[in-house]
Amino acid sequence: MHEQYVTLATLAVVAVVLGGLILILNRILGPQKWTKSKLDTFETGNEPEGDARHRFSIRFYLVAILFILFDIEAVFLFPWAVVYREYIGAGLGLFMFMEMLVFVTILGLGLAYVWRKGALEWD
Amino acid sequence: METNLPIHLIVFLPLLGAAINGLLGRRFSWTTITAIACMASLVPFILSVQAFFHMRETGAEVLRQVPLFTWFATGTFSVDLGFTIDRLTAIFCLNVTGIGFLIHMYSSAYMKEDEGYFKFMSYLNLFLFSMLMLIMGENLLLMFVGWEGVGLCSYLLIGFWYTDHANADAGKKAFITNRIGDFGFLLGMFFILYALNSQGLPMSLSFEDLQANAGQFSELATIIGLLLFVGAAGKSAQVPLYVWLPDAMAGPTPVSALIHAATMVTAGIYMVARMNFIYVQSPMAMTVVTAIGAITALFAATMGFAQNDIKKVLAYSTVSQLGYMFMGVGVGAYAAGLFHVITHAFFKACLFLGSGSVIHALHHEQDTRKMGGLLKKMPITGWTFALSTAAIAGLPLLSGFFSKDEILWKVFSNQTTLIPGWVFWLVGVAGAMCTAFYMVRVYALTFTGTYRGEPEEKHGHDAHGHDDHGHHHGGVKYDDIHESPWTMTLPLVVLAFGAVFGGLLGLPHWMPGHPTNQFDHWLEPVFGAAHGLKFLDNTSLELGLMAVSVGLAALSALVAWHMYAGKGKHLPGQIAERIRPVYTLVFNKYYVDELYAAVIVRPIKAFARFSWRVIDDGLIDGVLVNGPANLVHLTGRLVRLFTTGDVQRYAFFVLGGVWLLVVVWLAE
Amino acid sequence: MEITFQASDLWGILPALILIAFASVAALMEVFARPDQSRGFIAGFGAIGSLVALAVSIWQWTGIEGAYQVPLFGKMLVMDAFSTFFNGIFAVGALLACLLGGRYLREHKADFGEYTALVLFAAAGMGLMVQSRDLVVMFVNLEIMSIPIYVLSGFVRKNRRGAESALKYFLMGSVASAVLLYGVAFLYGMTGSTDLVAMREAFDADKALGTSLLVKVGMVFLLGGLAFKVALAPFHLWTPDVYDGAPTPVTAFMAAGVKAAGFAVMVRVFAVTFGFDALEFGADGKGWVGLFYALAVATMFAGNLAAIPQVNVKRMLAYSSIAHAGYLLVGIITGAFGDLGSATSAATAIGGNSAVLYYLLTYAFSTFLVLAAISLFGKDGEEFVHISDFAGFGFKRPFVALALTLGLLSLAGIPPLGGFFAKFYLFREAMALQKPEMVWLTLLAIVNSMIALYYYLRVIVFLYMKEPTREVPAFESKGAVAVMIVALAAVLLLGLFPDGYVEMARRSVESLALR
Repeated sequence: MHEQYVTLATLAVVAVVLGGLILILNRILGPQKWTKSKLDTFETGNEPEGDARHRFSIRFYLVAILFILFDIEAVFLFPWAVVYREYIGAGLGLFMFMEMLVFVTILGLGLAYVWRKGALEWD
Repeated sequence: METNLPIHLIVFLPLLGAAINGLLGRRFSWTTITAIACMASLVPFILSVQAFFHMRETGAEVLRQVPLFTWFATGTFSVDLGFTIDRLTAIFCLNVTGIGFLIHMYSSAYMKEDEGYFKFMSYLNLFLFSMLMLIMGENLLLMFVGWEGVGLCSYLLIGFWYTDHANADAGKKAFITNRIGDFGFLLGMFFILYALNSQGLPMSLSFEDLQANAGQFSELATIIGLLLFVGAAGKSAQVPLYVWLPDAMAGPTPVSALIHAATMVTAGIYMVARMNFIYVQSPMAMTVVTAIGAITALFAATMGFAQNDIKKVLAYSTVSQLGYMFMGVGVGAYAAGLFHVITHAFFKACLFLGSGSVIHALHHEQDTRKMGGLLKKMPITGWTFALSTAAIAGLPLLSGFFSKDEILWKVFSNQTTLIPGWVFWLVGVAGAMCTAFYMVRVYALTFTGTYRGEPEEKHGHDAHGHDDHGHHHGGVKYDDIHESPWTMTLPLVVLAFGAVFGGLLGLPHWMPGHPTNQFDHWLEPVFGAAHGLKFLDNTSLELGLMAVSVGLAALSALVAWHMYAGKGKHLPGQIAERIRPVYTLVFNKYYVDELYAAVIVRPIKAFARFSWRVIDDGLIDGVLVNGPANLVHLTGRLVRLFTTGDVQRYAFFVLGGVWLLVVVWLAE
Repeated sequence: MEITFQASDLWGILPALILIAFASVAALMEVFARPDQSRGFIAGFGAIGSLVALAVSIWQWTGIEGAYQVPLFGKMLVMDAFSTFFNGIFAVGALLACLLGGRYLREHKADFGEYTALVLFAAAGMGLMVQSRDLVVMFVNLEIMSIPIYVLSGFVRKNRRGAESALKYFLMGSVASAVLLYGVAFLYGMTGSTDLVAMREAFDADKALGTSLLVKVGMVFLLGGLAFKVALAPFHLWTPDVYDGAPTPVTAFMAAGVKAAGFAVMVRVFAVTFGFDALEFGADGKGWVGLFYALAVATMFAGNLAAIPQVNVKRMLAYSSIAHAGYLLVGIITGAFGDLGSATSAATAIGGNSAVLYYLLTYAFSTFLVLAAISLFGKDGEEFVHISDFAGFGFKRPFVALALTLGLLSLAGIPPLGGFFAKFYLFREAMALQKPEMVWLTLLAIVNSMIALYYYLRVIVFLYMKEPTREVPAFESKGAVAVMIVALAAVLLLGLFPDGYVEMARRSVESLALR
């Protein structure tokens, strides 16, 4: 009765074993010569400035969160657009259009709020 | 029968008075406050008198109005918010509103100087409202509402002089002891519902329906009776729940007179009488009630011997007298017990107010050792006190004589209790002897001999009694003592009149020209269920026993007079010396308070602290949190700042709790 | 699964929609208002929104006669008397929170319109949570409710304790949500559905299913998540910190709203889906009844005993709210001895669960009454809630003190206030079962309510019987007075004329039956 889980377990085992194997082989077979520039942080070929582990401004997080939030809008709009034709066919065109309008309006309100609140200003 | 009398007004006028004075009284003058408060008690009194005479004339057994509204009705359970006056209630109404009014009047002088005068009068009115609700409510639940209300008011009034810590503590003690009692009451009520439900009867708590269904309780009558009696014992200060009453004397004296002598403390007796149809079904419950009453009557009376605080003596005396009342209602002699409630209300209120008058004159001195010779200075107070003392001691033909001896005879002659009546009778007579002794002692110490309270010349002598209030300057000069104003003495005179002639209300059947006891006759309809109880019928034996008890009490009074007012003044000291251990035991009230503190109060406090400190703080913080948290502490203060340890603790408990539940369930 | 819905489904969630609309506008009002302008008008706007939502709930209630569990949005949500009853409570809660918040936030220099928006969002979340028929949707709505509450509890940022407690609450809430979701996953795995009705059908079809291990584990985890929200021991540890740290109006909203929402879901899920007949529980004390029994006893004692030594009144009230959750469980246990769908035992289920509803209603008003009075003490992010701060207050502001006193007495269950009647009704239903274990549970509950009186009365003693030791700032607030008047009237009404409200509660519970 648990066949499907057996498959799943096999997949998991294979993934772990294969991944580990490749890493270990790389370690064993690969030549290991450590130089300063090899150990350095890679910054698009430029000379690195300072430590990689420095603190980011809190504003990055804010922007990141806002990005995720409004990104969902696009993620949601896309499938809607794809199946919209079918809805028109089913006679639900106006209804679905209004639904999406409501959704976009709510996000628009959110944008207005964020904008006015100054969250999009860097300073 | 339906009536046009405004019954509801009797209950609600005092509430109105309380509301007006409580909310606006701050801005009122003394006259306005007094007028409002007194009217709010006088008008209900007049209405009660009217109701009483109406019942007498028409022979009505019950007066009721349409209930204000149905409080609650769901399925088979319904409770009306309505008030009725039956014959039992009528008596109590007269008592509560009548004495209540006198005490309002008295307080207007006694508390005049107090800053919180309006508060005080407002609380008094509120008390009156709750008490009337208790006695007039047409069902058990309303009675409970009033029951809680009087407890609350008593709490507020005992702690009225809150600046003194002891007073606030006394209030707390009264409250907690009463809660134990209330617990019994509530459970009793639920058991009644339980019984009704199991018989498939409609769950109505109205007394009328309960009485009609009384037969259904047979199996549960004992348990219901005992649980309700726990409530009654708490409210009416019976062994072992009496401890709060003596401490309650910390409140202002009018409060002691009204609540802790005349009215509230008799609520327990009222309740047992009201539920008589349950008690008569259980000889066991009746025996317990009688036995507790008897033990209390004697036990508290002995404690009265060694008290020096005038109000404390009266307090123990009240406890003891309440014991007599329970003996009466315990054996099924409800009318006798209630008769004693009424006579006791007269003479004990008079004694308390008299002591208040003395305390007032002496600027809050309560220690009898610092009194003496006051009769000359305060004749009205002195004489009314003397008459009431005689009444409580059982001097023939005064009110206390009739009521107490009727109880004693009924107790002796009853054939229901599981312990023979003569045992209780002996205990009762012993208690009566003690009563006569300590009451005469108090009177002699206070009003005869020479004054012992002259202020000492040297300043700074600290003579603080522990339950007086205000500032104390080492006493009042004898020459400066005055009789109290008329608003205080008039109630004394009225009450003393009652104490002397109150017995006429219920002259026993053996008095010439009185074939039936009027008081018994009046109450007969209420106690129909008690008719089946058997009592001996032997008038000559009754008279003989009475002669014995009166003789013994008189002897004891004479001894006391000799020792405290006559030539034997050296005797008390010698006796106390001779029986030092017993004296110490009695003086310290048998260490009951200490016992309770050790056995009950401390463990509960400790447990509460345990669960908070040890489980919340100690176990969890100490073991589960601080272990890791100490490590965390080493790694940096930053982490500590956000008290990560705490959140981990909480998370641990959420997850641990879930798994605990799983395990508990599976282990079942 | 076919998802069908029509425009008329919107009628079913209209209260929530109104709250969300008002919340959105309130947020915009905040950003478009002049910076120096007082935000009182936004709170007023929120109050109007709550009133509209309340009006719609009442309207729905009158129209719901006979109609019955209308499924909405393809069985994701329902509208029934039960959810409408709670929508009413939440709308009132939001209304009182808005009225209370305006002045409070100005005094504490945290006068932002987001408060109103968040309160309304949370209220909408609560309503939708109670309307959820699908456990996943229920979870989403739980989060819609919780996230604004997390923010609100740290709303006065100046108050460091508040900020700390908000963070704690958030972290703990996430853990609890995870636990709950895990439980839902187990239940889905065993029954093949997250739809409450379908789950019940699965239990009915296969009696063995209800006693299987994974169903039990799933139920415990689901219960754990809900128990966190309503603060049952041992999931209660966050409560004192958060109730104490949160701004007082928010504390009141949490105590009245979140608790009610949590219990509502508990009733819907446990009393109906995991009902007596489905799992053949109860008769022998097995099953979740025993579990609830243990939780009830632990919660009552944990709350009451810990409340005794508290000198911080808000902490004390937090512990007391834990204790109240314990009493409420008594009602759920009582109801668990019957099944709403059964002809023979429906009365038991209705009795016990309607007592829960009635209790929640009175508790909401009592707690608002108390906390409205307490919210007046404080200034600039600092609240004065030590018990001695109330000393002598009784005669300085008689009405406020009276409101506080009556609120405490109602919580303590003193007649004739609503709290007394709620307890009486609850205990009576429990006793009416005629089962010895229920008699014992009632006994314990009564003992506990006796203990509780002690710490409630201590506050009253300080109000009326102690001299103030220091000057404590207490501001005047018309909004708070309005809240007190409303709550006071409600507490008195619920105590004096409980009939109609009991009937409402009973009808609400009846509407849960799956027919």
